[in-house]
Amino acid sequence: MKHRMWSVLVLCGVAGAVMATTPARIVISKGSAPKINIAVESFGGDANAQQIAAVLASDLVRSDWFNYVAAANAEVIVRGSVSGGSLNGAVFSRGGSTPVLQKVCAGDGSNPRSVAHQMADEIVRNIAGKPGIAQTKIACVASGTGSKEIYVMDYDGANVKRLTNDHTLTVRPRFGPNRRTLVYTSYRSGWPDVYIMPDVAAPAPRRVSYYPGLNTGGAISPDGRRLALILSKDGNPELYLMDLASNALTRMSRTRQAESSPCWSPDGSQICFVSDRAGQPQLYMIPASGGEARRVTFGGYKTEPDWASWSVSAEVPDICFSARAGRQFQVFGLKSRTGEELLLTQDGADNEDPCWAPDGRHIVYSRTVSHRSSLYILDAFTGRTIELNPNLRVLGDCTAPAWSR
Amino acid sequence: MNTRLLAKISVLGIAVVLSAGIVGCKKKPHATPGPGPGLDGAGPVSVTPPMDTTGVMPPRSGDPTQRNQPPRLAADTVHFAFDSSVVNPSERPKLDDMAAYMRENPGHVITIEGHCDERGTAEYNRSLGERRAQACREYLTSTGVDGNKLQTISYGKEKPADPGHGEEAWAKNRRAEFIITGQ
Repeated sequence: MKHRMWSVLVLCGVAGAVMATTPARIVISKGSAPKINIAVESFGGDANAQQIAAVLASDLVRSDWFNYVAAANAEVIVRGSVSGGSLNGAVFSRGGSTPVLQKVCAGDGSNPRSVAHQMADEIVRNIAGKPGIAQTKIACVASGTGSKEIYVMDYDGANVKRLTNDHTLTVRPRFGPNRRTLVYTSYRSGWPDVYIMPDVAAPAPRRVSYYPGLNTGGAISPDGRRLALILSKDGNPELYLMDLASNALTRMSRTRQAESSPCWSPDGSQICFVSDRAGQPQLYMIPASGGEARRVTFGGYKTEPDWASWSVSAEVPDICFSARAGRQFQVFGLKSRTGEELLLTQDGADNEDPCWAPDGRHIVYSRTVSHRSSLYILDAFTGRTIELNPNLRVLGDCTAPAWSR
Repeated sequence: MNTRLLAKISVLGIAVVLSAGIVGCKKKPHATPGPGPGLDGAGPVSVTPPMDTTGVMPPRSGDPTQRNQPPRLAADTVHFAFDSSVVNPSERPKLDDMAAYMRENPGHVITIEGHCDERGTAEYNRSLGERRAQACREYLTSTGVDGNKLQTISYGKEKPADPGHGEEAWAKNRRAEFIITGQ
């Protein structure tokens, strides 16, 4: 197993080296990423044992670190039994009789998907050595009610729940660092204000910014203590930081042009945002402690940055954004350390609003064809894209997705 | 750098210098704006003094969702070039009429709505729409209109005037509209 994990790492390195030598703005080659062949044998026990096994298999495939294969071809086999809703799972390497991983995933019979997601994240963490995403959530804006409202769902599009009932424009959700807190903009008061919902499991929003003019673009710092946001109270849309304990504001930009869409570096030391101070919108970075903003992209129309909370490899971009490419918008990547830009989608659709999963590998974005929008997942490693879940189309147009982290 | 961009930058530079000069002569200092009435919980408190008060917005008043827009105000809707918040010379007569309207109706509070066409991304357009509304507000205050009677709201690309998808619709949708939110 150790040997196999090393070979995975080495292969990742080779794929990365190929990307690094390609010129900027070339689609990442859709080559095959190294994957571990895995099988899930049917689980014994409770009535929902087979559902747990099926969800687990789906989670392992969605992680993109595994190929799901027949047991005879598997390098790694998952066995388990379910009792009282809990899974007693064990992972074996081929031919091995001693488990390389054993885990009890607690459940009560009512939450088989959650039990499967726990096991999936254990396997991804211990066998592939990567952060799992099976217990994450995705929020988005959907227009099916005739208003724009915010919804939340499991990372695979199941368990959709509407979070707002504002009957107006409710937009730009972003998760805080604890996987539960959501910040968003709503015109519920008649004006665009920023709200924080401390726990998406029990929606109780608090309005945190309602200055005259525009209040939007809320992004909570990785330590959960500050909110980056865009306010126009001083006469122009500018970047501010709000201390969430005291509500004290610090103005971070001072231009005659438009600032928008802040996001935080994973260590909280930098903020990436959009400004059109040079003519067209471009990405800038500014130290969270204040100072001069530094331009980091050049040329074209570049907006909507999101900074990955975990970097899967120095060769995979850690900032995603959307930019005009020809007549369309596409998702791009930016390596924050080198400034290298990479085109990540190119499929004839408008691909916008990218947001990283906490594995630093997957990006959720909104794909628009013929003025209809739905959510897609991009594997930034291979360039492969899939629709998040076609069942979401019943919600109407889905845009502005946010991945919990 | 192309000449168009240079021209744009120099126009902006002139605008900055002009408005700074005008503001310097005519502006009265505003009180530091407090937050509006809270829906819930404590409101934000600004403890950092504003770095400049030239464009500071008055406290919110009225309900912008009640779109009180007489025909004269509708006719004064200002249109913009793609991805621009610069008031074109051809649009200035509309703003001059708005300035006249506000002199004739000194008690009215006007909300300037900023809008964008559907091209471009949502949050950038929300800021661009605000910038368009603010550009109109700056023009009006530069002619002597009381900034305390002028507030702004941006809808970005969320509320097109024309739901179409071609240049004709887009040109109508890149706009700033005036509504009465207090009188």
